[in-house]
Amino acid sequence: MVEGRRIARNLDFSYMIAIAIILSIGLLLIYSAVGGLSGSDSHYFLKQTVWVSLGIIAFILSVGIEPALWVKYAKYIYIASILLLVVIFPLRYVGLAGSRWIYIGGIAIQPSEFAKLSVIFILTRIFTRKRPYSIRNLIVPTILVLIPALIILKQPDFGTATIFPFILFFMIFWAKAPAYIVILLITIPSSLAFALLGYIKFAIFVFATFIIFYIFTLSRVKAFLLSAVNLLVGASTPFLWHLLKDYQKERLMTFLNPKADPLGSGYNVIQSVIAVGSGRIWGKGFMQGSQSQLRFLPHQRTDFIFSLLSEEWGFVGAFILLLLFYFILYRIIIFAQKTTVEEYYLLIGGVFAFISYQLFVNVCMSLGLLPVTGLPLPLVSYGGSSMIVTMFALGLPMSAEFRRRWL
Amino acid sequence: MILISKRRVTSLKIFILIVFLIIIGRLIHLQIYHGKEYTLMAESNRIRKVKIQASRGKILDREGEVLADEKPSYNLLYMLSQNALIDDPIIRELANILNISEEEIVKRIKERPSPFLPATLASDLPFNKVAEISERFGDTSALYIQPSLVRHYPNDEVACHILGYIGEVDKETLKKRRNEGLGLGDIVGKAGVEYTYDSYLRGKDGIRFIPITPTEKKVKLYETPPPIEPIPGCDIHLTIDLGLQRFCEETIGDRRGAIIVMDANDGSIYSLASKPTFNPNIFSGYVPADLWITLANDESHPLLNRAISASYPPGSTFKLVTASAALENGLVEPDEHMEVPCYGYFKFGNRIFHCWNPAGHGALTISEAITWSCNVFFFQVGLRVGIERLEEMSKRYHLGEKTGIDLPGEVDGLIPSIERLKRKFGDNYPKGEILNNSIGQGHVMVTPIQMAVLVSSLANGGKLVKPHLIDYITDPEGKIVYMAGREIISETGISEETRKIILDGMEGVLKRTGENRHYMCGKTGSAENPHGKTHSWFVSFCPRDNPRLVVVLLFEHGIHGEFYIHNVKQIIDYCRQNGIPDDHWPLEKE
Repeated sequence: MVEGRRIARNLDFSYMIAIAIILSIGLLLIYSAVGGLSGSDSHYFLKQTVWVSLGIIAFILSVGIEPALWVKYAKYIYIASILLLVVIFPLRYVGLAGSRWIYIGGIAIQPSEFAKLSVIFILTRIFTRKRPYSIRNLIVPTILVLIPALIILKQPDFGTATIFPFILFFMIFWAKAPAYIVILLITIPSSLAFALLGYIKFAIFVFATFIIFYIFTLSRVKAFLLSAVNLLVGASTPFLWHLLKDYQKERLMTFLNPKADPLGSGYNVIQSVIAVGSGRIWGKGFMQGSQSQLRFLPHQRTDFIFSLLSEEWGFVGAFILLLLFYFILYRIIIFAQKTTVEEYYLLIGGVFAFISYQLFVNVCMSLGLLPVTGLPLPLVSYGGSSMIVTMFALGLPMSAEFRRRWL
Repeated sequence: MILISKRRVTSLKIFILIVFLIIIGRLIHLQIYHGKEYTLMAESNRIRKVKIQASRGKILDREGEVLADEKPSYNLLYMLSQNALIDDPIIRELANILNISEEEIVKRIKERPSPFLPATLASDLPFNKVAEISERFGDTSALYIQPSLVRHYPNDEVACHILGYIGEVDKETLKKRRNEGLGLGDIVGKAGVEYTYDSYLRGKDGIRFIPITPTEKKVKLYETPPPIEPIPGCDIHLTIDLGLQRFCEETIGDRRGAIIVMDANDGSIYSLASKPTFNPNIFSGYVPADLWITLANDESHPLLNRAISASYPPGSTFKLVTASAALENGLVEPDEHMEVPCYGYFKFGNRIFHCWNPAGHGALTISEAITWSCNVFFFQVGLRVGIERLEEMSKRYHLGEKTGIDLPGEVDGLIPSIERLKRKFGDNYPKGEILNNSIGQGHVMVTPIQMAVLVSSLANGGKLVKPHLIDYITDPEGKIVYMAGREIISETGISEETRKIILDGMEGVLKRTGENRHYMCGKTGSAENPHGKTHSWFVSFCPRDNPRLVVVLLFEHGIHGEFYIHNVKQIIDYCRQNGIPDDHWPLEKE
């Protein structure tokens, strides 16, 4: 009894309530997306209730188990997750795997979701031992991150692949790496983007970064090093562009100008923006969104579920959901601030990167602010693997906080 | 804890706040600022507006016979806002039924101006295809069979130049008639009365609102607004008599030419035949791309309305103008003979001008000269009149100017002009030009309809009546909304004496060539044509004392006009027997 009360006192209830509300909103949205229990897709709703239940179990486990344990066995978890990713390719030939899923006993699991967690664990382990304070210390982590990212890119799943470099970057930043490394890591993707825009813009970019960087560091060597990296990235851009699948190139071009082909590749974005805009302040009402219910809105129970929310629940509904997410992310930062364990601090940073990246990319995609990449909205989008992994990840910061309060 | 950086945590807090604010800002921008626009777009997403075509007014002849009406037809529309793909099973099956390639179907869908507009995959579908498509695709909202109407001309070629034809509106017309509510893809009259009275004939299209879903899945349907019913167009009643029109066209036969039968007093046109003809039905419904090329390359110019849109040298019929100028200016006395009697030729300077009769006509009065159409006489009259006075008289007869008939494409023609001569040759212009002009050659060109108007003024005592095809227009309820009446272009002001002398000469033409059972006055003409055989004219009216009909006949590359007088008599016989313009014909004179 006393023990139970002590446990309860040390749990962060506001954090859990926020998650519970988001989960409930998500279930309602999926109910609407499948057209209710009488709809032809209603089994997705029933399955999602199962995934939510499993997610809650994953959350409880995550809170209950000492997080350092995952870091301790990070190596094995990492290897296992890579094997799971690799095994998709041979399994496809025997019909036991799709492009991204492995089928086990009638359910499909998505190894890439588990890979996200394993990368957070392995980076935590490495950075607590060898801090990312020099370029040399970054080589091994980069390789370890690129392995799953490239495998997933090959699946092909561009959106999921991009989260791995982001987690790496964020954890380097979080580990208090020197400013020049952070700047260097910011300029690499920027340099890629500018190289796509043309030679002149790229040249201006390289020159400008050199000047800015020199002013900041007052080190000519470092500034030249940065420019060299920029030029290298720029030079490899055509090669990387070549590596992209046609549909991926198309998506990038569509993002730059969605109205160029409104009936083709731009269709999804335009329909999504129409759905959001037509929701107005109060929304069209539960299960009343014409864009969603008449299926103009594509992928509405997964990628575009935020658009469904915005259409049927309006600005008010979207604002409330964003507020809940903001609260959760803010709590995670607070947990990190309070923790005194270095491993926890880094782990929480990884979880923050994972959740916030998916949230922002998914929402911005629905609103036409980012290209369509197909990342799920955490806790809301349909999907078992994603739900379990997200809930487990969200449990880690609370687990850390719980342990801090316990002491 | 050395690892935690306070600055980085703070900057992260600020950063995510900024990201959230950007997202909220975007939501405000989409949902609050532009909410109305996106609501409209969502509406047009789920509802397709399909035109309910208003029926175009009928065109009827003076007896109420149908010259143009509408025939039901079916179009096939693609309703979804996505583009279809080549491998889509619907598209594959459709390609089979329609007998076109999948690529073509996909192209037609892709080329529509907006994804919220239906794409027309096929128009004027045969009924068996309609049945097949509705059976196969009855439950998909991707396809819609749109009932429509196609213009139909039951008499095919007959009166084609009067009726004209219809077609899709072009960009220029669209701009000009924007305020009439014309839209892209609308059907308008392109020629003939279809063009002139298009605003009356056109109805106002209605709109049907069709709910659509982007997939074949059964989903709940939302309410749609009730349809806006179309308003049919007005019916046009013409003065044309279908039987007479057909008779005149048969009279021309395989020749190229025109015959006009017009009321001598009010300008009503009973027949305006031009050959060769075309079938206006070919422009209704689906028009093959090579049709225009075929028509443009046809050297017989079937689309040309020879009665109003082609000008010809008037030949001897112009002697009526020369005679009027001479008599009105007192240059020739009614019983005066010319200095040189006709020996079959006339010497002017060192040039010889021939009369059509090499044997010559001897000494004639002006009225006899009209009867015999003596060139030598009129050469000398012409020298007395001069180009200025001939030009002035041409203008009084309204030659060289459009008559204002209610058909598009009328041409001006050309009249003798001293200014043009001087412009072309300077002060030393060829003095022989007046000799040519006085017998309707040289730089003189008239249209058959101008000659009909000229003759009408001789018949009715000086009033140039404006020719018209329209009788009256009725709205869909049958109420008369427009009524044509007699319109006078101008009065010639020719004196009664002059007119009598000219009519004597014209009556003489009929007496000379046979019995004059209709108490007709006429003038033949054979106009030299630099491109080949002469053009034959016969212009006439009847009866002389109580003029009713003006008949003008023009055959390209014919023989002398005299040989077609019997054709004109047959036309008048037809009119008498069929009560055109009414049954009150005077008794036959002889």
